[in-house]
Amino acid sequence: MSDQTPAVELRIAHVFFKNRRVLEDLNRRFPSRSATAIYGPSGSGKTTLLRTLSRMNDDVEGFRVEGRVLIEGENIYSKEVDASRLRRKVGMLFQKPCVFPKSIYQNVVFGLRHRDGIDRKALPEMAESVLREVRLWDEVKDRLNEWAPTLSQGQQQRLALARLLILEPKILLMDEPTSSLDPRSVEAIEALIERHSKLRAILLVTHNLEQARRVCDEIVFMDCGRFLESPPLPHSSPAGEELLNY
Amino acid sequence: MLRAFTLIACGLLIFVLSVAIIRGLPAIDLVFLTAESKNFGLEGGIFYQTLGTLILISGAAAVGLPIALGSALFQTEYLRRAPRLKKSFRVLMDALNSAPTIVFGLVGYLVFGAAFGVSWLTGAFILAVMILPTMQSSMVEAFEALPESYRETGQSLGLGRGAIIRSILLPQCFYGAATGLFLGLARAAGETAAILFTATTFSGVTIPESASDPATTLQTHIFTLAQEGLDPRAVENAWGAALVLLTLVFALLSAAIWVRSRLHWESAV
Repeated sequence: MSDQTPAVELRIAHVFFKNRRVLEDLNRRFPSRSATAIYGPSGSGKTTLLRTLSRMNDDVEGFRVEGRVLIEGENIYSKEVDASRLRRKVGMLFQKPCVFPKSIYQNVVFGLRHRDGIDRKALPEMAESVLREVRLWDEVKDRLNEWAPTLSQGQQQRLALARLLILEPKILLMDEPTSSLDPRSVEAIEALIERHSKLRAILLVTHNLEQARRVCDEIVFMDCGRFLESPPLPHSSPAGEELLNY
Repeated sequence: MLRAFTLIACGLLIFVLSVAIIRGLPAIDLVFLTAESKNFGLEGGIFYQTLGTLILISGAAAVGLPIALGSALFQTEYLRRAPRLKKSFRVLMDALNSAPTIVFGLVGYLVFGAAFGVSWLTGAFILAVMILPTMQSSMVEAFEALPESYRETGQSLGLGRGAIIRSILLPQCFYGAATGLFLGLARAAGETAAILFTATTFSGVTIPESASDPATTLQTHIFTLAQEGLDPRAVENAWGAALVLLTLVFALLSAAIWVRSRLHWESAV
């Protein structure tokens, strides 16, 4: 992939859940090394968009995409594309952390254990590296074999992020990853977004405009399943003011 | 009113259990449990009948478990976008579950009996088909209770459907699936009609030596001795065998309840 090829290119006409149109006219390119915030009110289609980019809605009855979603130039909704292969380069972090009822260490290396050609001896070192990345290492280094669900929600979210980062996805989709987390976890995740935006494409769905301004290179505004062509100015219109202040 | 119905239901169960214990206990001793049946069941014990019952339900488990597991996985994991087909599947299983067991015996004899004759293997196949809906629906229930976030997390880490089943679904739903197995086996252990003329014999058999040999089971033993109602020794031995069978069924049900209590995934996720 050349640097000119966008990590994500949307040419979506419509996205449906059965007969309900949830996204429409989404045409945009997201560069390969940058963080983009997707900001908009609840129900504007932000999460649906992220899930569409990683084909997480494939099992949802009546879900269909009209148009094309290109990841590194490849239409991910063509029949030749295997969804699990796609998700190896498009990782997704959910709003609510989900750790498996296993040890902290087993959670970190969970995805990696299912990859071919991984040197098993290198796993502990790789696990330490990503746990340091998410600033969790100092908190868990002496209890890696403890049950992961006993961690706090903020720690669980950082663990989920470490579990994703160890797989080195080229594109990182983050769906409100810091909502209702403790300040320490928020700070760790924001710092990581800033660092990793130099390495990979990050799409961050957030309800926090200040956060979007702090850590992202660009902010895309969404409402009613569409991108707003230009960011609304706070006092330019009632709608713009409402969107920025909701 | 509801309390009265509950009391009636519990009272009936306690009555049946009490009668079985009071009438069966005098017949049971070490010899009865470990000796071979003699003089057409009037003397000796029920060792080979117990063994035959265990052989039949083990065979039913060996045949039925993979089919129940496979169809439950297909229903929950591969028909996610086809809810109508999934519902049809469930209706089919419910219909199978409600069919009279004697019909299983007749159809089973027609299908499996033609290949294996009156044999424990025919009985195992018939029981496997009979307990399939019990096991399958219990497994479906366990798989559907797994929080969707587990599957989605597996997907987001690039795991294929097979890897999600192997590494997430089955380990997390192990106890639910085991509950289904034990419930099915409990049902198989209590079944008489379907195997009476297809898999078992009353006497002349100890351990089946080949797949085409019939087995002697507790159910057949009780059925035959109970017909000898005029001989008090036969009746006492029938009650003794009934109590052993009841204990076996309750042991399997207790195992099912115990493994169900071990379901331990994070309900908060």
